[in-house]
Amino acid sequence: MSTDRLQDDNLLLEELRAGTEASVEALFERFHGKIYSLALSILKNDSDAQEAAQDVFITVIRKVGTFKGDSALYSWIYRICVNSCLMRLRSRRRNETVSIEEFMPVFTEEGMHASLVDDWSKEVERNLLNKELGGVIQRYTDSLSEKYRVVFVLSDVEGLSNEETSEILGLSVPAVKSRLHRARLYLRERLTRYMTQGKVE
Amino acid sequence: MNCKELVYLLGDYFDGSMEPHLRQELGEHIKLCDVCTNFLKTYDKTRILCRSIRCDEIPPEVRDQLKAFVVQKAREHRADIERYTTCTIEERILFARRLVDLFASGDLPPALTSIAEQHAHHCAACAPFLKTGVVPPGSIPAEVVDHLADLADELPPGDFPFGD
Repeated sequence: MSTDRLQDDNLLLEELRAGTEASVEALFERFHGKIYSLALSILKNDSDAQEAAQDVFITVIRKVGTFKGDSALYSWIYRICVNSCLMRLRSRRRNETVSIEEFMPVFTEEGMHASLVDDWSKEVERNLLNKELGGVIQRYTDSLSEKYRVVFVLSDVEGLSNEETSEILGLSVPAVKSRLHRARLYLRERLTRYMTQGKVE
Repeated sequence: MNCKELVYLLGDYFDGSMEPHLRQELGEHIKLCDVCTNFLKTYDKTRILCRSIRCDEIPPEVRDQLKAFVVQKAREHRADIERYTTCTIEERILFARRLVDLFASGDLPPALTSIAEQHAHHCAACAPFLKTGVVPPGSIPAEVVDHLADLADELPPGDFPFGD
């Protein structure tokens, strides 16, 4: 069977259920980059991401017979990946994240901004390929708690829609939007402080 | 719309779900408020910048290790299934053979005897194997094995097919 044919979800599922080696390779080629990237974004550690990716593929291969096709194949695989990562995070029980509340915007009683806001967006254009800035963003993203980071990674980093993220995480769309917005507000404020003070807090 | 309300609605503004009248109000507010203009620009830039941390490239050695692991585990899983399937087929053949033998000798427990007789009544394939005292020579055809092995499922829960 050609690998091209296995780009079709239904054919790939059929072949996986039949247990062909070509289907396992096609599954791997189609999803390994996304699975690893997602796991790395959530777990923040190469070896943990690799182990989580292993778990994801084993689970998909073993459970493919129970997949009813109620959701898209990638959505099911992402859900398995997120669950595997969350289980690993919870077993670590490390709490290295910061409270995002102190980075939320502050308003006056009349609902106006309590302080001025610098526009650093053009400054970034000049530094777009700056490796240091990439590292800073990574560090701030990593400091988000699991509740916000997973939503943020699926929506803004992986580019999924709010509806897709909601389906994968089993959250309502309003909950996804709220978490995503707060994550962005937090990151915006941290980047603002970095851009104006020129150092990582 | 004040600044606080504008900031609250920025998510809707960027994902396109904002009501048209609110979008218009936001546009009017932005024209008059430099602070919100800067806030909106930096909020948008934050979204765009954060996409750049996406790690698309898995290190080649990690990829190779992962692939070898996945292919190996898939092979083991397939071998487990094949082993299980083979084992099940052998068990079903033995069951059918024993059922036919005990039926022929009249030693089959009454419940299964009754089920077997009813089945023989309307199944031409199995009938020759379910006649007292007559056991056709040679192996039992796969179709007959399937039918006879399934007869055990018709027993009441807790009944053992051969009474042991």
